[in-house]
Amino acid sequence: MNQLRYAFEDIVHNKSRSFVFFLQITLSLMLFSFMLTHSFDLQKLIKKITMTNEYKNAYLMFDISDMDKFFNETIYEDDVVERMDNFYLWLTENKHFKSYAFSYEDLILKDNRLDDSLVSFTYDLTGDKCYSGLICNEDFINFFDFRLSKGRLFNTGDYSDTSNIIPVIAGYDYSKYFNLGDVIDSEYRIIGFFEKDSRYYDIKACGDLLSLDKSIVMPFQREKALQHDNLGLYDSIINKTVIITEDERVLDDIQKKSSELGLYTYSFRSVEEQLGYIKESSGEWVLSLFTFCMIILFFCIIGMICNMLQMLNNYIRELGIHILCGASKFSIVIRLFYQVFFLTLLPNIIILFIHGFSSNLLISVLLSVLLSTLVILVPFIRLMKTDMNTILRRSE
Amino acid sequence: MMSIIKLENITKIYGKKDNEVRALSNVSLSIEKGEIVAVVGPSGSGKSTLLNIIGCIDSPTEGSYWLDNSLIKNSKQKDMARIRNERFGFVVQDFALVERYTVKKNVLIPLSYSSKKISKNRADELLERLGLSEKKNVLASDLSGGQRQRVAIARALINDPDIILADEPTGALDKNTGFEVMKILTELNEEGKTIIVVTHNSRVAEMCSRVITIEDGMIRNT
Repeated sequence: MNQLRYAFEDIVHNKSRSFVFFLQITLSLMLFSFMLTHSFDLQKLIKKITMTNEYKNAYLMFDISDMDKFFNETIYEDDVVERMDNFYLWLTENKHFKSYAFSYEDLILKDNRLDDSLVSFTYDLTGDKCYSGLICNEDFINFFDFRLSKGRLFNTGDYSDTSNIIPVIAGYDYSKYFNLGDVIDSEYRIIGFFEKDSRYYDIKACGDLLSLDKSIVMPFQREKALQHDNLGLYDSIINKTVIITEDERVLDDIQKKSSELGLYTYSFRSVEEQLGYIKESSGEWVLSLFTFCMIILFFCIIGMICNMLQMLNNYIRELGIHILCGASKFSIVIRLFYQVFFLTLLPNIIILFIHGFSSNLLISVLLSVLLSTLVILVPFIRLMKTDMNTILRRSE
Repeated sequence: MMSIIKLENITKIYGKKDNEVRALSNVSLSIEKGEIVAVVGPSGSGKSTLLNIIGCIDSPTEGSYWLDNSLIKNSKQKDMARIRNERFGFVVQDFALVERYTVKKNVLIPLSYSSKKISKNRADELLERLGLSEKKNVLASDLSGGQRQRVAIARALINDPDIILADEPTGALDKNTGFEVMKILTELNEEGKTIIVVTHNSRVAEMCSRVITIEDGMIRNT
């Protein structure tokens, strides 16, 4: 206990040194925490990719139709939306393969509860603020296995609802400004909030893992789209459909069906190639992040060791006096260790505020112990190797 | 009388091979309980090394050291620290006080490492005896040389050790103050403490009952 008391007195007596040490250790732990959070993200991503890989063959549909013909003729045909609906139903309800579909929709919202941090972009001319929206079908929700922090997922009725108010699931960040049941702009009723950091990937568009935190997700209300002749939405959602099948022959069937309905000409591409890219780019990113963090961490640790060595040099006289009075070198090391350990544990309070009682905190505390040991190691060796005469002579 | 300290053929060599320095060569001596002994000799003669070995600060390279008939040899650091704490009180030339501590806190340092049950009030008693009771809450840095040395003596006595090792205790003090300090040490000797004083000062040596002269790491006369 005496060593603990001396350690606290040393910390208080050397406020500036202790503060620098505290900053160094805080930076180190924050970096570790950051690295861990992102490595968890990577793990999630890999898990999802692995999950997709279980489908063996997932295919993206690339429209290679004659665009002139499509835009000048097809879209003007009276029944094109009905044919598209027919095709969509055939794709999504087909028993020979699985699929999921989604589409983006920029939402111009004016609700004064909205915060600018949620704005996706602002139209220069009108000044309208645009928020990220996503329309999806039930298979999309099931495929990504989304979890909610509050509320419920879409039910069958939500997809077939034709009323004016659309049930939506808002991203986590919206939960700061809205409650369940709130209606935004008399148009969107919030029935749920996604868990923080809910993500999906758009393999076709960018291959990146995309966050839903600032998005509003709406169900694809087919019947309403049909009623409103929403050709654009059908076109978008059909062409972002991902086909999951082990039987490549269904791709021919899809093409056959599309041709039969006078719609698109497709080229199918396996997502494996795209996933390879995701793995590679994510791996590279995480590796770069790790390298960067490790470099900073290395310098932080060196800084902390130098700090301790300097402290040892400055205090050698006082430590020598304690040795003269009956302290062993080991008890001196314990005193130094308490100082380091206390200053190392302190930043965990910050981690506690950021992450709460989580695995991150536990890892951070364990890391603190490891860092303390690492930082004290060099001064420990230095002190143990210095003979008593030298310590006492330097104290004279 | 029985020997409280007995050294037999103590040799202390610092450094290795080409850089070897022989600080002590075959030193044998015996100090009786209750003696006050002066160790004199020129600078670099090995006086402080001898005191460090006796005080369990350093270990001899060769030879045997008995403290109260117990052989101190290859002891663990922890044991050496315990012996240093409980059996010896140290008084050194530069006082060895922690400047940022108060007088009383300096005096109490040895109790932090002691297994002896000693009341903290003993510090007050000692400070009173040494005329420092009014200074007990003053920082060590604010004391005069003589006062500092008296604090060092109080600290040396706090654990009630048998032996006081004083390395040039008057070296940093003026003549009168040095005399006062020696007077305290002789009084302690009269109370039964064994005192070993390393000194250059012949007047200080004269106040001791025996003088050991050491030159080139060897004892010339005891």
